Parts: sequence; structure tokens; C-alpha cells
Amino acid sequence: MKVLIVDDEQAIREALGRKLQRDGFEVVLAEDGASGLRAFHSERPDLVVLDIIMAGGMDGLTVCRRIRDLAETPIMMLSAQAITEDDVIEGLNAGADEYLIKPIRLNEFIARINALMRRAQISTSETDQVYDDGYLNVDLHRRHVHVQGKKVHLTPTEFKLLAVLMENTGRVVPQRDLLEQVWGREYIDDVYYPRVYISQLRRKVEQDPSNPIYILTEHRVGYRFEKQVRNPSDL
Amino acid sequence: MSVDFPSALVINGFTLALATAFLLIVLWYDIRRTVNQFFALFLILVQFWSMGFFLTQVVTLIDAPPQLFNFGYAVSQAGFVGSSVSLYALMTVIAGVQPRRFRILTAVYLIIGVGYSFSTSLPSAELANTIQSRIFSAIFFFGFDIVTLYVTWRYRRKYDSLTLIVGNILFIIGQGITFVNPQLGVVTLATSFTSLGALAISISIIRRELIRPLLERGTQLETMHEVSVAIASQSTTDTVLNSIAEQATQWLKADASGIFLKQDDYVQLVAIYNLPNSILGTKVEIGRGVAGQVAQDNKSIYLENYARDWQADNEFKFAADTFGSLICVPLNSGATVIGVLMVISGIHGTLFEKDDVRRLELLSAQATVAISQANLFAEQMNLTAQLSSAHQQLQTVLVSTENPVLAVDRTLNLIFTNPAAETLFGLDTIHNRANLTTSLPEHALPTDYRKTLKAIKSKGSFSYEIEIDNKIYICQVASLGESRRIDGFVAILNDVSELKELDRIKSEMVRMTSHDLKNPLQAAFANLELLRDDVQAINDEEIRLSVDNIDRQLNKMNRIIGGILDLERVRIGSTLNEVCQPKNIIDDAIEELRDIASEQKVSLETEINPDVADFLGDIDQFQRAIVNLIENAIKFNSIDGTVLIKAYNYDNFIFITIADDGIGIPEDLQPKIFDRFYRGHQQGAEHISGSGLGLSLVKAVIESHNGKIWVTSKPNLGTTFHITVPAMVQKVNIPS
Repeated sequence: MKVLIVDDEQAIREALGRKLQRDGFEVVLAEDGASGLRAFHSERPDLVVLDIIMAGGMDGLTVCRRIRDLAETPIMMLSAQAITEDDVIEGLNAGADEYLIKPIRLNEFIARINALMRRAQISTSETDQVYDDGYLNVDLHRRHVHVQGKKVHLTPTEFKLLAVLMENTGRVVPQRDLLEQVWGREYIDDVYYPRVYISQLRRKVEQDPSNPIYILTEHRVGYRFEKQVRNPSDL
Repeated sequence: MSVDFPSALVINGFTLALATAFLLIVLWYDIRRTVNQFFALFLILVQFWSMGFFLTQVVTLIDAPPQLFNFGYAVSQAGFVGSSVSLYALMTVIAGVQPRRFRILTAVYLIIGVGYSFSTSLPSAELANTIQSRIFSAIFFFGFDIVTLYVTWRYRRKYDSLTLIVGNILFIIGQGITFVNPQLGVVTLATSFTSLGALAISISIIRRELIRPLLERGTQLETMHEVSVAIASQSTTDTVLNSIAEQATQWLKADASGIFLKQDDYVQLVAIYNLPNSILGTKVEIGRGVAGQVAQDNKSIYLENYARDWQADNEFKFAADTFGSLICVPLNSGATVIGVLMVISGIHGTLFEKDDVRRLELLSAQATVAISQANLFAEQMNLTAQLSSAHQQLQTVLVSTENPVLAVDRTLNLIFTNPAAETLFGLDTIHNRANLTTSLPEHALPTDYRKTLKAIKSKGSFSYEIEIDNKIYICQVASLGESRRIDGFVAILNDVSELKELDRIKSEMVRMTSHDLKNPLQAAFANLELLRDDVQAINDEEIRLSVDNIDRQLNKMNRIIGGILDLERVRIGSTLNEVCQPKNIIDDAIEELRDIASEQKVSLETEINPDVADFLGDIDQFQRAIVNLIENAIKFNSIDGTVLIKAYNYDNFIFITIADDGIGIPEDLQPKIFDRFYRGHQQGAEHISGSGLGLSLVKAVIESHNGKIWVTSKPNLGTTFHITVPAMVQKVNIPS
């Protein structure tokens, strides 16, 4: 497993790197956005850890978007900048799978890295399912999502979230179950995650994200995927 | 006895006829007047005299029995004596100098004189010519006629009529001739004198009592009118007063006058006519001097002769030497005296009569009205001036202020805009009266008119933010007019762009700082953990303790930074769009803290009203605030203590209280505990750690929910935190 760490703070970069190496990961370090992108191309890492604010021309969000243009490699944002949900959403919008706020303890960091790896590797072959109502088209096996015929890029986390919800179509998936199935047991108390990712997902698949019809909220319980019957004339 | 017949008869007849005519006229005109009564008495007695004389002459001519002659002679004798007495009485009455018991004395004299003359003359004319009879007649004649002449001379100014005086003298001369020659020798001459005298007296009385008052009534009305017009045409109090003084003087043919106005306990001379200017402003105490007396009693004073009749204080030193006749009347409206009008005649000037007092009182009524009017007018002018200057000042303030100001009437038509507002909204002053909704861009108006109106009615004003030309304004709206009735609205805009910018910079600073602190913290944490792994191998207790210490301090630092960012997050604004159920929030919070509570051996109890209402808010933030409060209550509690959490509704508000029975907070520290970074350094609490940000964060969260938080505490008995937030307005679900 190869992890690329892009952070302009040497002390952080190296400490995180050493920890990952001790735990058996192969580590590549980069000190700014440009060298980070170069390293991504040359080293082909399995996971990227990105700082957002970095010295030099390119910030973490830009790097994230560039990577997403090419690949669906899991990306973990690790930033000191976030204050509000909006900051987190901005990071997720750029295509990150996970947004961690500094400072984070090394043990938790490792746990999150592992969970993210797991999420990305989980095969969806057992859910050989295709959904198509004319507006939304999802092929869980081939990991393809189309909205109105246009391909939509979902991050591994987003896709996993959609898959879990669709496997339980019409049934409410409790928040804790969702956390466990999508993110992993370590995340069971991060009630914050589903909310952010659900809204992220809605933005990508719903026609009107503020009045969702596919991904519905059951207040204080969880979320539910609902099939739609669409007339072509609605579109 | 030679008789000039018929001339004496004719003259006598004419005298009789005229006297009768005059008598009738006077009696018909006004019998109630004393002068008229005495004049009638005089004329009757003169007629007796003439009639008696007439009878004797007629008797002589027709050779009637001598008894008839004697009767006529007795009547004429009685009339002669009686007319002497009544002439004296008449002149005394006209002069108005009747002594005490005047009427009774007059009656007594008349009865004695007339009775004696008649009784002595009736038996025979010769008897009447006895010495006693003549002495008696002489006493009466000289006695009364001389007194009459003296009175006439003494009060000649009062009679003010030459005819009366001449008639008087003629009559007395006629009487003298008759007396000198009682045997009717020069009867024609005597008769002529007395008849002429009686005629002159009659004419003068008629003129005085009948014609003059009639004439005067006309002129009086005319003068009164003129005076009123003259006074009323003056607009300022000063000119009104001067006009009154002048008119009063001229009307009464007086020489000078003055007007005193009443102040607190004195009257002050404020207007004069023909008096030295140096006395203007003289103050006279109430009750002293003529003016003071009038002001005190609210009653006119009439002094015929100032030097003689006024013995009390003088308001002016020169008064006794220069004042002759004087009338002083109050200027009053009802029982309230506002001043005094004094009209003065010089020593040699007009002698006022009682009647003049009445006339002056009439004038004073007019004058009072005029003065009151002038005062009112002056007050109104003053008020108008004040109002207009206040208006001017306000206008200047509003026009010169840099803050845009707009005012509208009830129908939202513009009624005022200042230059700043006109520039900002591109309004034209001419467009005043245009409607607000058409003159201003839509985003500059409040979005919810009902809410705005409600806020103005309950709080007096409503403010909202608008953005115009990249500047941010706080627009504060208040109502015009009295509180009950709204006449319109006024809006003042305050440019807060700079403040907003400062705020933004501050937020930016907070972000930057926390970021700049978090990165080194991350590095320190990460390296410390690597170090801890390395140290584990060495197994050195001291190094392990040091690492733990560093770890604890880093954690503390992290919490402080976290707290600052939490505050910033709340400050940036929470979206109050989730339905919060107090019971769920409290239950979840307790669930989260159960472990900590059992560690501290503190039991958590709740009393939540099942009907407690929901409210709109940010569930996460609110729950964090509640967790924070309960955690505090656990930390500051005594071992085996209890934390009691209650929730209930009261009057559209939800109340949540969190009570512990711990060490309590001293009263002087209670207001400070919500301050940022404040941590009570109180005894028994040293062991408890915290960043000091907790309660300020809680307060910020509660306030962002439009709620309030406060604390009540008694040292060693416990502390209770109280929270109220407005309950959600129940929406009616309309079934589709």
C-alpha cells in the first residue's frame, strides 16, 4: 500500500510518514501542490493525504480536483483551516473522501487511513444491480452513475454511501448502521459524516437538492433511498 | 296796595306753568334719583309760593272774602320759607356734600318752617307781619339762603354750570326783595327775579339730569367703541397698555394715568400717560398705596381730593402735592386681579364724579380683555417662534447629518428625505410624496411588513440590514406620532460597512491564527506520539512522565483553540431551521455524560414536562451547549451530589434549568462567569480543569437561538443555570 502525503509542514509530513511506515505502509512525501501532483503521476499511490493551505502556487483543493479529473483514488484532506461545515463541504466538493481537522492523533489517523482503504477496496460485485428511471442511472457493478445521460463522478465514499442506501431501497438505514457500513466501526460516533456526505450526494444526483426525492431524511433516525417513476415529459 | 296788573299775574302764571311742566318732566324721567326728588320738592314749594301769591292777587282783583286772601298769603309765606330750605337741600344734593341725617333734618326744617309760616299767616295777613313772624322768616331766609350761597361758592367747580349758579343767585335775590318788602310793593320785580331764578335752576337741572346723560350715553358708546378699537388694534402688550392709559385719560378728561400689573405679591407700574418716565417700573406692595389697596380688595377707589381723602401710604412722593381727583379701578377677570388702572386729575383739573368710576370700570373690563389677548398673542408668537426655531434646528441636524434619513406617512408616501438619503437612493427632492415602494429598490425595504410593524409596536423600533452600492447599512425604523396612533415612520440608515469589514478581518484573523497554531500543534502531537512509541522500548519512567505532561499541555492548548473556533462558528451564525425537541436533546446529552457522572459519583435526574414545546434551532449546537452545562454541573458538584435538569413551558417560552448542589458561585463572580476566558478562582474548584471558554460559548449559542441564560447560586448550596428560548409557533397543517 502506497500513501502520498502532501503537506508543506515538514514536521507534520515526516511524523505522519514515519507512523505510516511503522505500520507497514509505503510512503511518498511531497512538500507542495505541484510536486504532490508530480509524485501522484509518477508513484501511483493507493491513497493521498492532502493539506489544504500550502506555500506555493497550488493549494490542496486544486490538487484534489486535478487528481479527481484522472482517478478515483481515495483522498483524505487534513486541514487546520476548517471552522464551519461549509469549509468541510468545500473540501468534499473538490472530491475528497474524508476531511479530517488538525490536530489529529496518530492512532486515529492510522485508523482512518485503514478505513478509507477498506472502503475503496470493497467489491460491489455482490450487488449486481442497475437502476434507471430515465433521469438517474446507476450501475452498481460497474460503478457508473449517470444523471440525465451525463456521467457523474462519485468519490469512493459517496459511491459506497449510495450503494448501501440502494441495497436497502425503501427501507430506512439508521445513522449508526450507515456509519458502520460505509465508513467503518471507527466512525460510529461521527454523526457529522453522513449529513455532509448525504448533502454532497444529493447535490450530485438530485434535481433539486433542497427538495430531495431519491435520498430522503428520516428525522433523527437515518436515511432512505426511494425509487422514482418518471415520465420523459418531466425531464 | 297798588298792583301792577296784569304783568305780575302773567309772570306768575308762566312761572307756575313752567314749574309744573318741569316738575312733570323730572318726575316722569327718573323719580328715583335723589337730585330729581329734591328738585321736585323745590319746584312744589316754589309753586306753593307762586300759587299763594297768585291767589292773593286774584282775590284782590275780584274782591273775594278776606279769608281767601289770608289763605293765599299763608300758602305764599309757607312756600317762601319752604323754597329757601329746599333750595339749600337741592344745592347740597347736587354738590353731593350732604351731612349726616340730611333727609331727616331737611324734613324737620321744612315742617317747622312751613308749618309755622302757614299757621301764623292763616288767621290774618297782619298777624303775619308781626315782629316774631318776621324774625322767624328772617332766620329761615338768612339761615338757609346764606348757607346755600356759601355751598354754591364752595362747590362751584362741582356744579360745572354757570346757569345753575346764576339762577341760584337770582332766586335768592328775588327772595331777598320779597322779604324786604313783604307788603308786595315791588312784587313784580321780586316775582321776575325768583321766576327767572327758578327757570334758570330748572333748565340747568333738566340739562344736567336729562339732556346731558342722554347726550353722553351716545358719546359714551361712541367713545367706548373708539377706545375698544384703539386698544384692540394694538398687538403687543406694551402698546395695548399704553393705548389703554391714553384712552382712559382722554375719556375722563383727566391729566394722567398709569397701569400697574400684578406680579406675585406686588403691583408694578408698567404703562404711563403724562407721568414722569422715572416712575415707570415702580413696585407697590399689595395692600399698600391706592393701587395696592385696589389690587388687594378687587374694588375701585374713588378719591375726590387725593391730599384730603387718602391718609394711607402714597405710592408716589409727589402725589400729595400734585394729585387732585383720582380714580383707581382693578383690571380683573372674575375674581382674579391682573392689574390696576389709575386715572389722575391734577389739583386744578377735572373733578371726577362717582359716575366716572362706573365708566372707568367699563373701560377696565375692555382693557383686561385686550391685555389678556395681547398676552395670549405674545405667548403664541413666542411659542410659534420656539417651534419654528426647533423645527429649524431639527431640519439643520437632519440635513447636515451624514446618515441618510427618510420619513414616510402612514401610507408610505415620502414626507422627508435628507440630502444623504437623496444621494444614496438617487431621489429628487421634488419626488417627496412619492411612494416608498416605488422610490426605493426592493432590497432596501423590509421583507416582512407585519413583522416590522409588530417589532415597532412592541420594541419601538426595528432594524435590518441592507446593501446598497457595495456598502452595508443598518436601517433602523421607528414610528412617528404618538404611541397609540402611528402617523408614519422614520428610517435612519447607518453605514456599517467599515464595522462589517472589521468584523470580517477579525474573523479572518481568528481563522489564520487558529490555523497557524493548529499546524505546529499537529506536528507536536504527531512527533510526541512517535516519541512515546520510542520511549516505550526504553522503559524510562521519568521520560514517560515528561511525555505525558507535554501531551496534557498540548491537549489543553488544543481545547483552547477549539473553544475559540467554536465561538467563532456560533458567531458566524447558526441556521435555526431544525425542529429541536428539548426532551431528546436533554436525553442525548445525559446519555453522553453518563460515564463522567458515574465516575464523579454524581446522579443525573430529569423533570421534563411531557407537553414541553419544540423550538427551531441548530440541534448540534444547542445540544453541545446543554452538554457543556451539565458537564459543568457534574464537575462542580460535590461527591454523591445530584444534577437536576428540568424543562417546561411558560408563556410561549421554553425554560430549561440545570441545578447542582455543589460549591456554588459567589454573588460577585456570577456576572463574570459568561465572560470569555473567565474561570472562577474559587476555593474548592482548583482541581477542576477547563479552558474558561465553555460558558461564553454556551451563552453565544443560547443567544443565537434568541434565548437568554442566567445563573442563580448560593455558595455551598448549589448553582442553577436557567435557559429560555422562544417556543416554535405551531404551524397549522393543511391536509392536501
